[in-house]
Amino acid sequence: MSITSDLIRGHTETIILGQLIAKDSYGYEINKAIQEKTDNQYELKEATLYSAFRRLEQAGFILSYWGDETTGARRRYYSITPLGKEAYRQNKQDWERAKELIDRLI
Amino acid sequence: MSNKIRSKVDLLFADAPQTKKVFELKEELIVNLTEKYDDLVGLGKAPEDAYNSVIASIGDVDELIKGLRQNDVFNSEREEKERRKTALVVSGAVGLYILSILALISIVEVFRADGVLALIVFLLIAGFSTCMLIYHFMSKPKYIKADDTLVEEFKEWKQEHTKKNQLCKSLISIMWTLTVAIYLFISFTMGIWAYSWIIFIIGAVVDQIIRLVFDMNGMRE
Repeated sequence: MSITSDLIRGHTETIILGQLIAKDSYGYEINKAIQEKTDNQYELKEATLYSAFRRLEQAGFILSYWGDETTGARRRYYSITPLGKEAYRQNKQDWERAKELIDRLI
Repeated sequence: MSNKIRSKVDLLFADAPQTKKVFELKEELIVNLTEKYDDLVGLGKAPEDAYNSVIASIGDVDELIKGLRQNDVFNSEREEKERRKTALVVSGAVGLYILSILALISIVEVFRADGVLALIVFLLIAGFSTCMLIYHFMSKPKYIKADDTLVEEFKEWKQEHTKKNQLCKSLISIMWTLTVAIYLFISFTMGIWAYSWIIFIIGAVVDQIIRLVFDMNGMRE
């Protein structure tokens, strides 16, 4: 699991952007989706997730806003910006190329 | 249980700066952790186990706190640079003022040159240094908040305030320097010592007008 984590860590931002392309979401929901999609094999640590949010926000790839839940505590939602979509597309392309090369090498 | 999660989060962030950003991050974290906890309990996990796995999933908050602190370093570096620039500009301007008066006296007294020429040289040098000062203080960037705390807001307000005061003070001191220079110059060249002192009364009026203009500007805001 730890080796897998190291390999995946570099793609944390892209993974989050990928979740936000479908719809605006908040921390726990994003993490839950990641867990479900990987059959509980992968999950981000909270600290990693929120550090990534701050970095993405600073880069202008995502925006955040507070939800208007009437009951209970308010959630902070994130939405992807056009710049973020472009970055996601670019990162995905880079990954496809890397994957192809590594497949040939190992 | 929400309270237990809250106090745990408070504990983890005890060393973090008490800013709006950190406060919001903590709120966000607590809301999400509580939801996760509720989900785990809903799936049939024992409350204590659920709590433990929620806390374990937080991971290392140091990187989070470090990320929030990074902005401060950047700002203080920039401020330091600004401070040095101000010192350089102010000392340069003061030097030029002294030089201008020196030029005025030496051209008239040592070279016995035309008084008008001396005055032109004097005004050119003094005018240049005045422009330098005013330009610097007008174009000086606003204080950039390191974070959103009240302290920072106060600093920003104070800096706005002193910036204006500084401009006012430098204008007044420039005006008085000019007044003295003109007084000496006119008196020496024309020999009208009997009347030339009136310029100081005019100077006092101009002084008050400058102060009034700044006060009115301040009130309008």
